Amino acid sequence: MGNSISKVMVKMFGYREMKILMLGLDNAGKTTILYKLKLNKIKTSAPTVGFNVETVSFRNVKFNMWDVGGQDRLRPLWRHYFPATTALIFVVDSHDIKRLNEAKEELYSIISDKEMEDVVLLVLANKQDLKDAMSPHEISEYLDFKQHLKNQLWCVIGSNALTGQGLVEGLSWITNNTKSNNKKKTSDAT
Amino acid sequence: MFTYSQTVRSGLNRCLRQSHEEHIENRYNAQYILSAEFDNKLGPVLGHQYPSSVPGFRSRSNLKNTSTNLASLMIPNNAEDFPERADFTTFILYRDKYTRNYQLFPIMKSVAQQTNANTLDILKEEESPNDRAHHNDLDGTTEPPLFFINVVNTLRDENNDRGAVIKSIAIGTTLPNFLIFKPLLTMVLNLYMRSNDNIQILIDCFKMINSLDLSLARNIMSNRSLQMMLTSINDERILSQVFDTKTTILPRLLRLNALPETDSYGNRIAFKRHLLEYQFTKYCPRVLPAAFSKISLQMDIINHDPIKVNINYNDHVLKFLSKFTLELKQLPRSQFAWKLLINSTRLSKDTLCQFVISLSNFIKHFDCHYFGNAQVIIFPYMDISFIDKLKEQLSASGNQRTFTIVGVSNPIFECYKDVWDFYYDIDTENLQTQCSKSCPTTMSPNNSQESLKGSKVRKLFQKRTSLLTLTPEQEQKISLTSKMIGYLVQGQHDNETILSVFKRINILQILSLVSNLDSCSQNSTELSLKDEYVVAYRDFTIFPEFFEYGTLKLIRCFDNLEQDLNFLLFDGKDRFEGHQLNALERIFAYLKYFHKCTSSGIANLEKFINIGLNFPLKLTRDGECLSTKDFGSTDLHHLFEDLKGSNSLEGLCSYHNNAVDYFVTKRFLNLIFLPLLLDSRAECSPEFVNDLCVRGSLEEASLGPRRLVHSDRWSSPISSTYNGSSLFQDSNTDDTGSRRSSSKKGSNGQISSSEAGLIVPKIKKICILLIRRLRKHPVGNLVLEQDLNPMFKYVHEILEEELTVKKRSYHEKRISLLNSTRPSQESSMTVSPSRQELLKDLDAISQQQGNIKYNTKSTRGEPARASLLESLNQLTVNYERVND
Repeated sequence: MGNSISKVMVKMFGYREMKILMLGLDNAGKTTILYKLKLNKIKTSAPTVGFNVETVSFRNVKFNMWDVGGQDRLRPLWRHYFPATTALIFVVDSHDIKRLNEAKEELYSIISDKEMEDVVLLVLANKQDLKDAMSPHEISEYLDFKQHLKNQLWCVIGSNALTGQGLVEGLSWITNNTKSNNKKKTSDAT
Repeated sequence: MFTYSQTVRSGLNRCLRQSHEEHIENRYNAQYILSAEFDNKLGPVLGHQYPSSVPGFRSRSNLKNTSTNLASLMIPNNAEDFPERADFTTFILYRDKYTRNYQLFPIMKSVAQQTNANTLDILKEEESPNDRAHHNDLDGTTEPPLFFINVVNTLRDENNDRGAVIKSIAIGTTLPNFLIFKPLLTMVLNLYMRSNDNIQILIDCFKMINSLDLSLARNIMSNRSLQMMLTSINDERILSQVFDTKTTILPRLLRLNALPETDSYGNRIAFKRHLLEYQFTKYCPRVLPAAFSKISLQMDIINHDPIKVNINYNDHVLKFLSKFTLELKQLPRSQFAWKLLINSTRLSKDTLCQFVISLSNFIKHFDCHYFGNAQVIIFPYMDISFIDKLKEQLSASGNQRTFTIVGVSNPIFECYKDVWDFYYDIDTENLQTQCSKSCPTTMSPNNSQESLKGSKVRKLFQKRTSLLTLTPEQEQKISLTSKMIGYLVQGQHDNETILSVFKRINILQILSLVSNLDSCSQNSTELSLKDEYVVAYRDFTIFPEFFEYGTLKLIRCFDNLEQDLNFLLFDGKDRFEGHQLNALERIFAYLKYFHKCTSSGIANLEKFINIGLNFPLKLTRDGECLSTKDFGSTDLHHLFEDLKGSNSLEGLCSYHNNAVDYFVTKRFLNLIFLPLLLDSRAECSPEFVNDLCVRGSLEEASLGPRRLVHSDRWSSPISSTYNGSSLFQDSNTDDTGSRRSSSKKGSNGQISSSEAGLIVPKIKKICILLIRRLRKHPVGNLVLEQDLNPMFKYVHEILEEELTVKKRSYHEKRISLLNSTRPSQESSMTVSPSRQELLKDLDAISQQQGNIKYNTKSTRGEPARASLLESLNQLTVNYERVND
């Protein structure tokens, strides 16, 4: 029923809704990104207990963005948020090189799930403002998507949640690449 | 100090045998104290557990296992959003008697155990019908659940790498009023968070709580008959007198010689209106500041709910019920159980948990089995990490035979349609259902166990529903409960009034159900009355006390008494046409039963008062079925006005503009006092007796016994309740009984004029004895003082005095018996001038009533009744004005 209404709205007004799941290790900046997009404000006073969910409108798309806590014991719960996801935003702390491999393992664990095999994948290489942060290209290379994600849409974008850099580009990429899920392509680091 | 209760004495002895230290070590009040925090790297983790780890949650492996991580219940979602503001969650642990471990879901019962439990219940019901509190430990495999009240808070901390610290502490207790610990826990958490996790703070708090001897409070809370009566008063005038510590009412009510000022260890106790307050005066904490000892534990003496809540039902609960009861009515016949998920991301977790507990209170989950032996899962707050466990539990206990009420604060649960049939979002007040009319009537069970149990119960359900109610054209109908909820929401009534309304609806619907079953052609039924009720009405709320055999009998007696009084004194019909006893004899039998019941112990007297206080206004005509009646287009205001204006007992009730206030008006005093106005001369007149005989000579109603198949602790077998003749079994030994035996031989219901003349004085006498019983009880006396129509009061005083005089002159009793209703002429006692005037008035009314009866049969009684009614009404109106 809801799906039918969405389709009608899309046809009439070019308006659509999609569920975005934003995951990543703890302290990667997921909540900051969410509220920068939602409120254009910085909310970094406490770690996320559980999840945050907000609606962000961009162009003619209404994004229901789920931001789920990334602590060790919360990660097994990520799978519960997979159903009906259109796009996955995986946030990486570009400055936390020590945990990059841990992030990579978690990411591959997610996209290997059957429920996530058709979602488009946007990796935000966050905290680009910090000194010694890895570039989006370096992160893309490290994650080795070209080798492993041959049938999935993916993109790595550098971002700075404090300034909002890269966030709109990310949403724009998702918007452009979810119109037709049949069209498969890969995108290199921006 | 304690004089009455053996239990109280034994509890006291137990305490006296122990030193204070031993008492503290025995953990009577709190069993565990836990702490948890949100670790920036790990997430929610348990901290301390004192005095030991909770069995079943003690190993490190369990701590790592997210599905059994208690910490995720103690650090709820979005706890970080409101720093410096404490929030509360509740979770419940169930202990398996065999494994000695606690678990988050109720212990499942095997079919064999259930069978044993049923057998046991029947015995218990017969041997010990009422009194003390009980838990859902009905099968012997479970212990009372352990309730954890948890407080969580977030403090900003610049030294923390994520900017804030999130911690919580929880107390585990078997006390159902665990909310009393909230103020103390909040203070302790605040100190604990600022003291770098000093465990001694927790130990001090734990020991301080256990330093109190709460046996007095426990005994008050667990006295069922007292609690049922207190919760039914719902009258501030009476309650303020009950809890006035300057009088002796409260000690008498609590079966104490005097209100104690300390517990057995010297901790101060104070009675403050309806609150019982305990002070921590004797425990010396090691690290807790002295100020903490001044925080008192305040518990409500009146226990309105099995589990205490402190939310206003009108804020959220009623809005939900108004939608949910409509949807429940539309469930397919095959689906007797339902799974309900309640979500809110905006409300505090405290409100959410109390919302869920409120719903569990409405189905009396922690008091009895809601439906047969179906499993009920109450989970006040559930984190997404428990969803797999929930699915497992549903699968194991039988998806089709499990009721669940789960509170969540995460809209992702909406996606998991296998764990809910109804999904209610409190924030948007939107109720989604997956149970449409098109649902298949049979669903494939998940496992063999479910197949076995589910099919059996479904079969019973289908059998009954096909008999009683849910036909397709009835599914859209608005039930009485739904209708009344609309008025309750509109009027923003308090919780006590809401419960009063639900109790009255419960009684009305029971009476209607019993009446329907009585006329049902089916010879046998396999469901208990309570289960029949749940199936027939599906309005969510039940009050198990009304399904007990003794209580049900009282309710039916009240109902029949009302019918017969309406028949004799007003325009009512004889509902028992053809019965072997005539109306007067039946009235005598009811009153005799009331007297017998109230004379057999204070608990029964309180039970009687409870039923009386809740006895409802009759909303339907004879033959109308409440389970099928559509109240959608009914304007209750108009209906009540019509009833008020009718020539019936309703005409004696005080008028209220508000439909709810009118509905909850107490009516039972009218029922008890109205027989005092019966006139032996009028009732035994040849014309009236002939009239009774004509009415009573119709063929005897078929009231054959029905087969008893199923019963549980809380519900009488239907067979024993809708057998109308059982109401008169108790009259076998009295005069009416012997008369009944003789009348059996002759034509049914016939009565000679001399016998009719004898029965009225007997009715009056038993009435007076019953009223004396009521007066002996402090609450009964207060109700009589506050609510009694002044006319009745004067009539009663006169008859009471007359009875006293008669006792003194016993040898003259037989001579004056026939004239006992003419006190002004026959009594030799000295009465005041005003009373003499009243006696004259009464006599005039009686004469008028009698004359009209003698005159014509077709207009029998009406003008006299009208006059009587007018007199009472006039007095009622004046009385109301004076009170206003």
